[in-house]
Amino acid sequence: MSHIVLCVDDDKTVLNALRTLLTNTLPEGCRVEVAESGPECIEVCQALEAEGLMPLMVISDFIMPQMRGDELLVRLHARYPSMIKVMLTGQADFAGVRRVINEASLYRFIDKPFKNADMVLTVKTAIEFKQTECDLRDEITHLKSRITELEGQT
Amino acid sequence: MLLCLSLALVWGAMTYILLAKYQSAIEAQRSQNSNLAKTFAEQTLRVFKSVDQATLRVRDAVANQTLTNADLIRFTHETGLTEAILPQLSYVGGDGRLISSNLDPHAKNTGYVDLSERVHIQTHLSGAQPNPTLGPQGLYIGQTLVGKVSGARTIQLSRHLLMPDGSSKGMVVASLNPSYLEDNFKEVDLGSQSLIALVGQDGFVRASVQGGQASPIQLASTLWQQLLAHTTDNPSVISKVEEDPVSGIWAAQAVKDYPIYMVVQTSVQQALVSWFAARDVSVALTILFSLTMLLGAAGYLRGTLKLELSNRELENNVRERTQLLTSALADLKATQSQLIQSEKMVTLGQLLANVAHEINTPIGAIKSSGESISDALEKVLANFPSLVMSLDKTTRQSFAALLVAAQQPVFPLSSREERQNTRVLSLELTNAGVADAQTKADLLTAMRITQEPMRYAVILHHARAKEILGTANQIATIINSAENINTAVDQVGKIVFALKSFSHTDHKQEFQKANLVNGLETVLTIYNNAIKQGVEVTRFYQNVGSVECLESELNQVWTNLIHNALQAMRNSGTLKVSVFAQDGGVAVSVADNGPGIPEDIKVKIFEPFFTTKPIGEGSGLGLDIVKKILDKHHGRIDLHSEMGVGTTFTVWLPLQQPES
Repeated sequence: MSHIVLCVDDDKTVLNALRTLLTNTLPEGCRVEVAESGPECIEVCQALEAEGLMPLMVISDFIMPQMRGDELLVRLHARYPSMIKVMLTGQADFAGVRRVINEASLYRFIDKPFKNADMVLTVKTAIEFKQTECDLRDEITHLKSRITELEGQT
Repeated sequence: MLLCLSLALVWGAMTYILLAKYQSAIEAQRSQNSNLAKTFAEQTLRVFKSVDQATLRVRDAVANQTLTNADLIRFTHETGLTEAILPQLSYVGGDGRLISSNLDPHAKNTGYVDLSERVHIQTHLSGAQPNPTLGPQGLYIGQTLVGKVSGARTIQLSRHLLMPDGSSKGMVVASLNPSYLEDNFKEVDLGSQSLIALVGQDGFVRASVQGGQASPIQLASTLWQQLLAHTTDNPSVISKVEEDPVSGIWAAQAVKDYPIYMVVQTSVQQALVSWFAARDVSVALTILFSLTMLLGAAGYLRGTLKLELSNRELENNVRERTQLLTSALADLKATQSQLIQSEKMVTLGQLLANVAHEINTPIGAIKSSGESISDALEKVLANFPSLVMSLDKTTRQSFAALLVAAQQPVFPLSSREERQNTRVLSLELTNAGVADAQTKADLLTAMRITQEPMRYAVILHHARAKEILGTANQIATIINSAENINTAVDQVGKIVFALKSFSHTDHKQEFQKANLVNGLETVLTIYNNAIKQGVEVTRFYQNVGSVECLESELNQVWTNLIHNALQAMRNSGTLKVSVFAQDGGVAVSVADNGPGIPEDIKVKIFEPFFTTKPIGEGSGLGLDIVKKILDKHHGRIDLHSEMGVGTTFTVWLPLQQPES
């Protein structure tokens, strides 16, 4: 499974920095996709979906023109509830953050300017978490089928 | 000064008048004295003439040898003069002996009287001819003496009985009583210092009344000489004669035909009696008048002085007040400047959080990129040498070419475009049979190698393709990150410049040419963070050139308008900023699609301290200051607003300021 990490920020320099960082540090099989706005992000998701892919994780800025970060994450959660959502921002108001936590199941909140190590750790942990989740699910599925199998044998 | 003149005039006039009066008083006295002298002289003349007549009759009688003793008595009577006046008429012989008189016709009683010592006798007997002391036809008026016969004071009038044949028959002597004359003199009141005297040519006084009293006096010879010198037929006035016992006004009249003078003298005091009174009164009056004038003048002066003092005080007050006002005005002006500056700072303060975040974002990117460079460099230094060494020549060449391509400056693509590119690349690689096409396509895109990927087919097909591409990627990372840092730094620089521009105060107030777009963009940069949150900015900039202005003050205007627009829209809507030519000048409009401004507020909006915001939020001075700044620039501002649609503020500025 290829893990796709989405980065969304209206600032190109931040986007570049993020992409460079993640590309170099993420384990093999991970891809980084970038978007400069909320609508563009949704567009990307739709394109990926069409290809049968689903982004594992989205890291989004809060203050963006057109669509604010909290709005984007809420929308993404509605469509992809299992996507890990991280908010990255230097200024967020309490109401916005509360909204994302409550309505979009925010996984993490990272301050700008961020330390590379922090970012990498967060992403890796998230991937691991997801991996573990997947593995567990797989394991459960396998076990379930095994049980069925075994039950069928008796 | 006018007062001194008038006082001088009054005193001068008074003095002049007094002097004139003095002169006329003296003149009057003199005139009176001379008239008196004339009158008395006339009287005396009549008496003398009568007496003289008698003496002539005696002479004639003697010449005719007809003289009898009875004649003497008769002649005496026929003079008409009483015996009080003419007591005695005597005939004296040549030897000086009394022959006969009217009182003693036979000379019996008196006997022989020797009269030879008498002056008049001697004068006649001396026979000196002509004798100036003699009157007409030889009448000698003798000095007053006591008669030997009568024993009374008399004036002896004597005539030498000189016959035609030249023989002397003696003298006839008439005794005149001077008291008769003196009584006449006493009739006149000329004061106590006066003198009325009958004075002979020899200077001896025959009859005199002094101060109303008969008193025998003697005139100093020098005085008499002086009097004579002045005396002609016309009397003259002598006053203040030297060495005279009684100074005064003299008048002398000669008794016609006789060597005798009538002298009237009054003191100057007497003449001036009334003058003194007049003088005293007028001096008193004049003094009174002067005092009054002086008092009046003093009062007037005092009044004037008071007026001047109060004038000066007023002037001082006015000057003081003006000074105070001037300094108050200066203070106000300074305060106004301060207020504008502080409004600016308030705005800046409000935006500070936003601006800080604006700066923070690129700085975050810089930080991240910097760390990425460190990491990548570490890895490259570790891997690169050994990797290159292990590659064959062809691969190495391809690798080199790859690195070169990675360093080419490329037009930055939007993420959408990049995604597109990657997809194309990926397809191409897949078609070329490259394994892990997507991954490799990503790496190539990250290295900004967008075209002709198959140039590097050697690497792409290489067994260690990922490793090679990975290392190349590390190098590309360093390059990208460095560029990213540069871009971010430029961003920060732009914001800092905008901040500097914004907070700059032009103390010198010198108008300079400036491009209004720069100012507008500065303000938009400062407000970028606020705008980002939901406002779409459209710009319409016409190339209108430069405008003569105070740039920092106009920035305040843009700030105000943009701030108001954003607030009206609650940071969500469309902001349209335009610059275009209009009416020979430049127009700048800031339009929002907020709720609009109601009619009743539209008129008040430029008033100082008017605000629709709650207390503490906004001073309400914004648009008032905008108006003042535009007034300074000879510009104007218009407001167009429609409820529910939006508001547009349009500022118009002339290209150049008028010559001041």
